[in-house]
Amino acid sequence: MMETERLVLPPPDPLDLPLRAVEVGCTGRWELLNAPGAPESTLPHGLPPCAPDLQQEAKQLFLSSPAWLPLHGVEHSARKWQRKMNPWSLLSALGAPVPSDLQAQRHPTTGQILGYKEVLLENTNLSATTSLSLRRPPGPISQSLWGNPTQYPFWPGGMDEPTITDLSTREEAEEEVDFEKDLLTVPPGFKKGVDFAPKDRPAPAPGLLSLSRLLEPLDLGGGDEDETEAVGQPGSRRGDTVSASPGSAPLVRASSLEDLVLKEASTAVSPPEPPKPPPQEQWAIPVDVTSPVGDFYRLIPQPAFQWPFEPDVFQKQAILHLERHDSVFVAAHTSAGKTVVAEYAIALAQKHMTRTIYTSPIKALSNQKFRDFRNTFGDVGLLTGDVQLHPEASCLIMTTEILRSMLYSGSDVIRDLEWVIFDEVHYINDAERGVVWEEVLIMLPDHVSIILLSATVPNALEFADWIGRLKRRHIYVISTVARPVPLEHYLFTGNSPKTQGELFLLLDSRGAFHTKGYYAAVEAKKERMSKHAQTFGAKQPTHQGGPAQDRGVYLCLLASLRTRAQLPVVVFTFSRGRCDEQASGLTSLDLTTSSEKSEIHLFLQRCLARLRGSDRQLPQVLHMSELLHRGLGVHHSGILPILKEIVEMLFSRGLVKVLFATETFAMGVNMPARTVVFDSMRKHDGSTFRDLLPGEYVQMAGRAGRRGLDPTGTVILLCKGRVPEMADLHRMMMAHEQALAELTKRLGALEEPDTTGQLVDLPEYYSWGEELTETRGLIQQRIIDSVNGLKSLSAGRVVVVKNQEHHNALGVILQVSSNSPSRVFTTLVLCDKPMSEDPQEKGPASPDVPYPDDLVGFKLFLPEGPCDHTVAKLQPGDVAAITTKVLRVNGEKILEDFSKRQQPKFKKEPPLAAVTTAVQELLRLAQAYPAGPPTLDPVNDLQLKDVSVVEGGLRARKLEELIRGAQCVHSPRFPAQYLKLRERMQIQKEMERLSFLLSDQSLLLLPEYHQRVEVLRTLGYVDEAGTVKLAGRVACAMSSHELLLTELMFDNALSALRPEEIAALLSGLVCQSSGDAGDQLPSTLKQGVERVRAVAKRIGEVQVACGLNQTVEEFVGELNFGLVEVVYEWARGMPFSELAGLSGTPEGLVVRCIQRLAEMCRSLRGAARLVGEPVLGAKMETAATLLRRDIVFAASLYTQ
Amino acid sequence: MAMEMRLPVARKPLSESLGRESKKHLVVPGDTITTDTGFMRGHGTYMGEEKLIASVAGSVERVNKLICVKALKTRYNGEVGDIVVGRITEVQQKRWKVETNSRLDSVLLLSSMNLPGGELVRLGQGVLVQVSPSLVKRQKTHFHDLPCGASVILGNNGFIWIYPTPEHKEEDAGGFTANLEPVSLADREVISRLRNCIVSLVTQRMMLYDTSILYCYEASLPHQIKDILKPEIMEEIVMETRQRLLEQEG
Repeated sequence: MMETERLVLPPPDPLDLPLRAVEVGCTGRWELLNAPGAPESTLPHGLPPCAPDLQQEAKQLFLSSPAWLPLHGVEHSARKWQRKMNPWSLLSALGAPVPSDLQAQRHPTTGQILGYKEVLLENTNLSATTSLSLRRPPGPISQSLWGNPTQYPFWPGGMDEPTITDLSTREEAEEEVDFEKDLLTVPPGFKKGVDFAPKDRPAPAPGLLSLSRLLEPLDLGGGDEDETEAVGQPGSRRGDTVSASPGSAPLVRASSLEDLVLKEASTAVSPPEPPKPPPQEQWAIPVDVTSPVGDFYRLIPQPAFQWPFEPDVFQKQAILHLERHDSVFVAAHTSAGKTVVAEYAIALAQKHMTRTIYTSPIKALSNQKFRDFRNTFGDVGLLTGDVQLHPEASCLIMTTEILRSMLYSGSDVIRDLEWVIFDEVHYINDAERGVVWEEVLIMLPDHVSIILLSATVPNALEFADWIGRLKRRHIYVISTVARPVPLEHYLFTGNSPKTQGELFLLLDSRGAFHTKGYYAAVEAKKERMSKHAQTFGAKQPTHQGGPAQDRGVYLCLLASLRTRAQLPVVVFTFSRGRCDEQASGLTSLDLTTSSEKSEIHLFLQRCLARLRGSDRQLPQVLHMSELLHRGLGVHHSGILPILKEIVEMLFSRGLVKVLFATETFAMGVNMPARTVVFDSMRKHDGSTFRDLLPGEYVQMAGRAGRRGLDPTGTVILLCKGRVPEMADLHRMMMAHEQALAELTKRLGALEEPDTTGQLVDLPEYYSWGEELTETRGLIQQRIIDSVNGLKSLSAGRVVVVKNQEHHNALGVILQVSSNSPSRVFTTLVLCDKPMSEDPQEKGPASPDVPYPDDLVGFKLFLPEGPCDHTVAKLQPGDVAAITTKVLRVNGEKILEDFSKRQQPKFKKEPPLAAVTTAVQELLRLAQAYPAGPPTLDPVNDLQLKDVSVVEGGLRARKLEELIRGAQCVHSPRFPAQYLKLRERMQIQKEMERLSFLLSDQSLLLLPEYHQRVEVLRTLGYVDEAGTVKLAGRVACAMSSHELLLTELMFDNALSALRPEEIAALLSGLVCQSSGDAGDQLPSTLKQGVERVRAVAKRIGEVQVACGLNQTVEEFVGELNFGLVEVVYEWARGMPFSELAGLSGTPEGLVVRCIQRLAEMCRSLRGAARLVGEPVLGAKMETAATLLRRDIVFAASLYTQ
Repeated sequence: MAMEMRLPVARKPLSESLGRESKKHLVVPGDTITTDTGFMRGHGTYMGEEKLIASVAGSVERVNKLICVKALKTRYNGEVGDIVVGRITEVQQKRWKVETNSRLDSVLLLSSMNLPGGELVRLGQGVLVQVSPSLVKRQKTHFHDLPCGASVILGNNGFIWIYPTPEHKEEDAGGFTANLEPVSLADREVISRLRNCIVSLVTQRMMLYDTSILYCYEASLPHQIKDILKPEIMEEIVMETRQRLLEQEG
């Protein structure tokens, strides 16, 4: 080590810095240290490498100089702490409930306690969350109505609930369980289970063995039962079951009250309990309703309910079955009186102190029924999505959806339930909602009986059988087609007071069609027409009649009905505007007496009192009040809901004498009238005008005739223009829905054609023939589509004609119509001379059985006997072949001559020379080429080089050869067998087509599905891999207009606006009436409308780009901004009365638009929550509240 | 027993050259995302003084005018349709408690087991890897039978289950049978390699999905399983994976 010269430093002064120079290593490097007492020199190689002091370093790094800390390296800043696992907790289990209790034994007379006995408790530890049994204790009062979604439902009826006998046998079986062998290894319902068989390692199933071994020492003398009790506990569903020892005392005590009541009720009625359903699969039992029930009053001495009238046979039958607590299915016409059955059930339940639930598919119907039943029974409640009235009542009216949720939530109301009445149960056919009925039917517990009320359905038995099998109980089917009030159908042709008696019976109450009446009507009409023509010249009265003429018709019709006491009347008109027009037109009509007027006035006052002051002054309200005072009413979707209800109520009280209504009035709600009048037979179904369907007609006509009041119902068809065709009338009034014939049955019934011997190639022959025809048709189509082909089909060209009338007849084209889409070739065609004396044999017999000549060549038609000609207008498809021949004809001349000779005057005149020459020439050609004239070759002559044409030609030639070589044609039985085969093939084809339709219906929509997915992908709702992204999830939250709403939201087009502005803009999406946004809109709204349109346009463009079949204009055109201003003002708090001035839209439509808008606001609020945007969510909430007020959301009158 | 000792090496920053074309916009809480008021605020943001400010640390995501910040490190937030892998932590009479990396324990009602439409699989033998939920890429399917001989379930909650590909799909066993057959050594090796690959992908903050896992697996093949977790090797194979993914994206 080298000794270096040392610096001599003075002793450290207190003021001196404590610095010390250290020589580092031996290279002459010096360092200054501020640590006193540090060594003065170091090892030759400097300081040794050592790990730095972590604590020091951390302090230095993070505390003294944190400036370097990265802001963005946040990976390790958030930490989480792993929880401590406690695997042993997995093994802990709660103790079982106490299975037994001590009971004092008393002396039967003195009551002295003799001793104590241990009794087994049953149904211990039952609760709504552990058991499906009715024996579980009821839930808290707060949940008694709606139940709780976490609760179990009650055990559905019709499924195997273990019974006592079941259990006792099972108990016995359980006692003999051999724990070594008989234990289940597969859980019930699974295909595979745990395999306990020892595998490679000899691992015995320790749990099982030890269990049985453990049980042995536990035998404390309690008997075998206790042991099985303990063993059986884990697996079986003992909680739900009743006692194992039949007939023990606790059973009687535990049986519920309603069971006792029911038993009493059923024993009070004489017929004994029907025996257990037999094992055969016949659950629906049709009930004979033709013979009267003679001993009705003997069987039911004290009916639960009595009507002022005598019930019909079918009603009596139903009542009898109700008394026996049977389930019934009643199918009858709307007005037949199904309600009687429902009423009796309700009364019966009240007598038994149980409950009835009445479900209806439509809320409006629920409201109406609520009112009806409330008037009859008093103790009635209503549960719909909106209102909840008297939920404690014995009869509850609700929609099916609500009953479903009550069933699933295990509501305690179900316990008391005796009847469930399903009104209009044919709604189960509804594609969307039908499943609700099914679910409810399945879930109803066993003690509930079912009453199904339905319109007449053809397969009532089948349907009832299905339900019966489901519930394992008999369903008594009471079906009647009779109308209690038969209908009479009339035609009315009058239009003035003079002719008001022109009412012609067309179909009487027995269902006989009167042709005489029809012709009388036609005559009456014709007479008027001719008179009319005399007065006003030959001008045809084509117009259907303006308002003035309508008024005349109605005035005289109503006068006529009034004199014959056939009011009240419902007039069905198929347009809202005409409804209003007609009602307003009848200003002079006053149909009410003064006492009725005051009644109407009072009723109106009472109903309208619930509206805001200004709302009572609405033009529609005032106008309707005025009409109602005179006994007139209007009912359509443009009417305010509250007014509609007022009209309905006044109508049902008989105070509205004449009601002008659209089809909606005929739906569901039961409002019979004396007479029904059809303004027209045609209606506009959204796209076109069409005749009424028989079903629609029957539904509406069925409103005629009030039970118990009218002997017959009158249906009158107005003939304002001409009288409708008799066939149409007949079809509409008498049509019965035809059941589809089962094709398979037809196929099975057909004889198998004989294909042996010579006929061995018959099927092939058939298919060759078919294919040849098809190929030729294809080629012909190509030719006609092509330019050259068309050129060749000019005047003078000789063609072979093949259609209905002509079979391979030669013809010459005279004229070609020029409009391209449906080209018509006027052609002179050879034909037989018409033989008037024998029309049967006219024309050639149709070629039933094609021989090779028919198929291959064109075996030309040669007239037998004298030849004649005719002029036919041919479609391109009628031309079978184009020959190479061209005749020189003067088309116009021939046509002129021919049309002249069609007139009776000139019939006998000989045809012109030009005609005869042409015919002669054609005949000559036909004789010259009996097997067909040379035809234009599509490839060579017409220059059609299309692949399909060339290949088609080759294939056709091949087929021709095959057909020529066919053997079967030589067989004598060929024609007969061929016919059989063809029939068979046709049916088979039909079957294939049908089964294709059935099986691949979804495939038809597959391309559209892909296009729509592509739209979603383009808009970024799903990514390339098909994963739904945020935007897609938002779109899912929307109930309608998903794309548009989502795009608007993500474009931030809504957030900046005020709630009322948002609502106004969105009205464009839900509004149905067309119209333009007013000019007075605030500028923000105008911009908003433009923005919505722009977004819609963008979406529309994307859709078009993806191949969807909807143009941009159509897509944007779906938006109607006609109500923007109205909704804006409404949301800003303007009274409804002032809105009317803003737009011409009917008030009822405005109300509906606002109602739907409120729904849309709700769904947008949900979507806003999804993206975490609270501002928009709050705004949508506000918007919804702004919209929901006053008359628009007024509660139904029926519930008041 | 062989032992390997290594000296600490400073971690090199990730080379930028291989970064994605569109760099992620990363923010920390309090960062201003935009001052443009035309935007909508979504999850992970709040409005303050006319500015849109991030409330969590993560990457900014935009859908049209909606701005969300997706947290890089977060507990799992459940969404409808997610596949989750969970661990039963508590057995009660009517429900089980399941740990799903969520803020609260999930509850699995026993009554809802084996409901139609639900897919409840009891997992038998395999390896669980826990990663950040934000690293699991959302895909149509999260069950993958990888060609390398093992299957993975990528739970949306960041729990990843690696298990030997079953030879025959068990039907209707309802997860009642536990296959206790010993897993062959080859399978176990594949599973361990996959596990280490996933861990290295996660360390390098790569999204996890079938392709990335498979590429990483293939890139790791030259190395021994235990070596994969060495930082430099991790870096190397992930780099290679990245390269291939970029190539594949084109």
